[in-house]
Amino acid sequence: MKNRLIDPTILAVAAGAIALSFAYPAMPGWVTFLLQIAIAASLPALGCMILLRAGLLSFGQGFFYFVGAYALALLYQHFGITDAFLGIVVGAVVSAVFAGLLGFFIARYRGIFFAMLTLAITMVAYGIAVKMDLFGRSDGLNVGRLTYLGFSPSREQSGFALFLLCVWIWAVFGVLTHLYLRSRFGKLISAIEDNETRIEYLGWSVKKAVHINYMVAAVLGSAGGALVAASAHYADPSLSYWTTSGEFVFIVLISGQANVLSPLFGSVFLELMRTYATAYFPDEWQLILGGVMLVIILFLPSGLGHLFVLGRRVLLNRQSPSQTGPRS
Amino acid sequence: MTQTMTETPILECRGIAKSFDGFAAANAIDLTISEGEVVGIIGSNGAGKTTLLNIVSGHLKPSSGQVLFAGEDVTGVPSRKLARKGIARSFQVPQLFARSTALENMMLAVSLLARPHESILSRFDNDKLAKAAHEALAHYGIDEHTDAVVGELPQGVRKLLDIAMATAAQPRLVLLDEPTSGVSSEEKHDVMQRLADRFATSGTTVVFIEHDMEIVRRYASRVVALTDGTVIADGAPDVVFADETVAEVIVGEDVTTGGA
Repeated sequence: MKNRLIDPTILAVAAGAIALSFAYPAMPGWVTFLLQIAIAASLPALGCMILLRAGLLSFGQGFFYFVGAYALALLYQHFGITDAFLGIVVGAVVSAVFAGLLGFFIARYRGIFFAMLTLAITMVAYGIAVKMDLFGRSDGLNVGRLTYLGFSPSREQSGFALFLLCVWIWAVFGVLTHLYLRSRFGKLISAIEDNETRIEYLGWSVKKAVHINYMVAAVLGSAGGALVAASAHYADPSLSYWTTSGEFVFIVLISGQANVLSPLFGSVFLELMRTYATAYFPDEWQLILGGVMLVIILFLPSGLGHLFVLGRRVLLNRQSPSQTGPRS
Repeated sequence: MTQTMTETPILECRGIAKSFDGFAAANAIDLTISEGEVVGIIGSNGAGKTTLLNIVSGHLKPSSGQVLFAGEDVTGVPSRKLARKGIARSFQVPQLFARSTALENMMLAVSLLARPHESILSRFDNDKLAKAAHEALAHYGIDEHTDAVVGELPQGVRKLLDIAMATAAQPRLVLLDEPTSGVSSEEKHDVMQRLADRFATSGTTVVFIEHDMEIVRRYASRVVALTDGTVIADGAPDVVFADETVAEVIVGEDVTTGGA
């Protein structure tokens, strides 16, 4: 509980991003693509995680994933704007505005009502997108080669540039989310599930806190959306389909909520499982997914992150006799 | 002029009324409380005690009437704003963060309530807050329970922790809803003595609801008796308890039910 001089989570995020950046040339294309998709999905899942910290289950992170992806795609297709950073910023602003407006309504609800409303919103967006030419109907919109603050990479460089974009956008949002969670406000939102009445009598509006938290989760969702559209080179309405949102919840259930790194582990695990399961058991991969889910819920209810806790406990137990010395 | 300023009551209720589906829980309650008083509110179940506390603390809006805090009209102002203005409130059932330790509960209270000028996005400073929280718990004599998860604490300690959290920012008015309910008879006086010592030192005005008449007699400097949402007696404990209606309607009832 003591403050540490160097925050280990920030250190781990930075070290991870640097290591991945240098490892790029050594990784095969399918691995870098898998990592990019996993990173993209980990951001809306991180949004799910901060909502879950407040006891709120969202089945609507897909909506903001969709907004982020389409902000990039629409700018590219209809305005000829190819800058990745501008696309991410526009997506984040539009998502924050949407969440800001929806939040006035949704922040009053808890439990199943919150979950169902978020699901309804994402499905309305899906329904609109598949019918509108502006969004390319069910085919979606293509996203070509992007530029980065005026830097236009060559065809050979573009893969690396995109990989770096994904890694460092994740790192920046990861660190910002970590700072958010360790702040006074972060502690406040973590206490919402426990006792809303007490928070009100400590001088804070729970509704406003939920509203802000919903907006932060929306921005994380949109950043992930921009990264998936940039990596896959297209955005389609299925990003807003409820099963996409369900996957983000699934990722948090797999990984647990230990810290901001957790959703990335969950997301990479899910993508690896999907890749191998579809390759070896193309017809049964969803069965495998369900089975894994069942095992995790039954044996690791706090998610895969709990393995680290168990591992540390085992190590400490092994070390304890030498650390404590002989007992008299 | 100065005299008028110092005489402004800390709390003034003018004709407070509140109905729930036609049932009048509070019926034109008038009450003026001066700074530093310790007021015990008594009354049988359904007399309007908690409704009055809920209205004064901003939990409920009155159907009619006015609430003035230190001369300022605060009628209908939400509880979170009143908490910042200096009205603290505890509950019959302690409102705690049940999965956290007593120290963590108090740290959150200190951080959120006692430091309103710090940015909400600033770091939750564990070291500083733990020190301040420990001191706050020590003021109520419950610092030996710092590391216990509150769900496992005895009711008396939970009650004190609830009050300690509510009063983290040195309020001017403290509203206590049955501070000894659910507390064992051995613990009751201990809890009340700790509260009395704490608030006497700071000169804080206290309004408490209590069913145990012995506690009221001993710790209140003034007693307000409510029946059917109306004040039927108001004054020094000896005077109120000597009132025939109070003896018949409130005290008698409590004596026969064991005085708890």
